[in-house]
Amino acid sequence: MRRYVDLWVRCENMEKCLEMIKCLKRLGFSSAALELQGECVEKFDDLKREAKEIGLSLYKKLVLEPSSRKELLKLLRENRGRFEVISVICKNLETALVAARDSRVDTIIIPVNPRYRFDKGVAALLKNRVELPFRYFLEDRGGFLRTASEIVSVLGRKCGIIVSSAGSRSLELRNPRQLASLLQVLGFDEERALDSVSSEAINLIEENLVKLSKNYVMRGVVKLG
Amino acid sequence: MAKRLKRRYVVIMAEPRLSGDSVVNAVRSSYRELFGLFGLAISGFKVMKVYKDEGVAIIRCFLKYLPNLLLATASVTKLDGEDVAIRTLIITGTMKRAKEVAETYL
Repeated sequence: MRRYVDLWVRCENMEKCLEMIKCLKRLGFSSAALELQGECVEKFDDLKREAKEIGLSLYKKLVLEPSSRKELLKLLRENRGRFEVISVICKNLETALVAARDSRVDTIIIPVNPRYRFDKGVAALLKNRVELPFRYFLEDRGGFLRTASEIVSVLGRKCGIIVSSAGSRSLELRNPRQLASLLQVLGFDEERALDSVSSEAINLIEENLVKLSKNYVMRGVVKLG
Repeated sequence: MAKRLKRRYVVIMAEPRLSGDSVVNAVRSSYRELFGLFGLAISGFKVMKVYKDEGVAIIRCFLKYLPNLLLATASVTKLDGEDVAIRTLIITGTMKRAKEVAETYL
C-alpha cells in the first residue's frame, strides 16, 4: 500500500498546526514536512509527539528564498544539519543554477512566471528534484499551469517532480489524489503522478535521515555497527 | 467493436458543510474554467445525487477524465463568499457503493 507524504506544510501557530496535523491524517497522509514559523519552532517536539499519537510522522523543512548565489551558499552552510528537508525558491537564474546542482538542496521551487528561462541547459545541470506547490495553483491558475507545463515538458524526464500542498491552514490542504491529478492533467500517467506524492518524497526523506544520522561519514560511506 | 466507456462515481463533500447544490455548481464552473465548455461536454460530467443540506454530492464522469474532475474539485477555494475546500470521499465504479459511502457522511 502506498504511503503518502505532504512535503510542504506551513505552520504559523500551534492551534492551526494541530488542526492541520489532524486534517493531514484524515486526508490519508502518513508523513509531512513542516515549515515552522513563530512559536511552532520551539514546540516542534510537542507537535511531533502529538502527530505520532495519531500516526503521522513529522519532519522539519526549511524554505530558502535567496537573491544571490552567495546568499544561498551561506544559508545552506548554516542550516543543512538542522533540517530534514531544504527547498530553495529560485527567484533568478543565478540561484536556480546553483540550487539545481548543489547536493545540500533537496528540492527546487520555480515560482509562477519566473523572469528567466529554464531550458535544456538547466535540465542538463539538474540533480535535485523539482517541487510544485499546490498553493501556487490556487493563487494563480493560469500562470501556474503555464509554468508547470513548461517544467514538466523540459525537466519532467530528467528529474523527479514532487507535488506538495504548501498550505498554511487546513482548508488549503488537499488529498493525495487531488495533488497527483495536477500532474496527470499535465501528461503524467497515474502511477508516476502518484509517485510524486509518495515514493519520490519518501525516498528524499529517507536519504536525508541517513545523511543526518551519526553513522554517516560522507557520501557513500556509512559506519556499520 | 466499439469499446464501452468506463465511468467513475466521485463522492464529494464541502468543508465546512454548505448546500449541496452550490457545491455542485462550484465544481461544474471550476471544471468549465479549467478545461472549457467542450472539455466539460466530453467528460461525461453528470450530477447523480445531491444531499442538499449536508453538502454531499455524487458526480459521475468517464474514467479518462477523472483527473480533470479531481483537479476541478481541488481548485475550488471560495463558495458563497466563504472559504471552503472540497474533499473527495471516495472514487468508485458503482453508484451503489457511492451511495453507501455518501450516506455515512450525512
